[in-house]
Amino acid sequence: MTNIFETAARAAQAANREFILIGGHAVNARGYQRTTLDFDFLIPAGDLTSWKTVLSGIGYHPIHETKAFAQFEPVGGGGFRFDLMLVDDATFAKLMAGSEVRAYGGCEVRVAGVLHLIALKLHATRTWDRAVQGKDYYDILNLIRINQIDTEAPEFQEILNRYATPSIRDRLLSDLNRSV
Amino acid sequence: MPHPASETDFSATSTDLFDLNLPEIAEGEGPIDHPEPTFDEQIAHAKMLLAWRDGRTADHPPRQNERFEM
Repeated sequence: MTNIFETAARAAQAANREFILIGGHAVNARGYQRTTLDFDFLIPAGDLTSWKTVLSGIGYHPIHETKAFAQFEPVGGGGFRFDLMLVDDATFAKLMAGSEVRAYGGCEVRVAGVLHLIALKLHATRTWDRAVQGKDYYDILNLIRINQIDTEAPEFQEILNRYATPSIRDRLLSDLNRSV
Repeated sequence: MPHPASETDFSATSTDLFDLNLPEIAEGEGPIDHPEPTFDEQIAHAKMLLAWRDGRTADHPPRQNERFEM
């Protein structure tokens, strides 16, 4: 049996490429278990060429690329996909500073800090097609509950003010108040 | 000695840490979304998470039409 996540993580390590686990698997690693069929890695945009080599080396090829994302699936289709989110070096450094190394998927990887993960999810809900799906919203809600985030803390208020739309902010605060 | 990175320690530089330059994604410019997982894929994923939790080797998820044997 192949653990493709571990294979990719070790290939990245061998190539000296850093990444931060974000997305559904980071949500899983942070305690809220939900189904996801892709691995989301946040990387510095300047590392994309190296990552193409890394993923090609484990049997993946690119299927979609924009200025902010690059997506890969196994040659022949099926199986987990790798989605790379591309950010500038300064943003990557900040997410690294907030991340922590956790055992996940058979290896030790950097997982985005829970507040950063919530910030990324809030940002994702700003796009219409992600907002329609709704899964980001429930990720946020459950991350807050499971990780016992202090929603009155300045850090949480800051990410809410920076990244949430007014409607998401109101809905979130309403749902959190109702659950108390 | 440098302080280890932790998601619980944002007190000193929180403003900087959360000032992220995240890309604004216009409609249709985001990543291609994966189709909703089939029942078989959800079962396979749940088993994978259990395997990871227990320190066993994880399975690859089945392809769309692949039967998953319990």
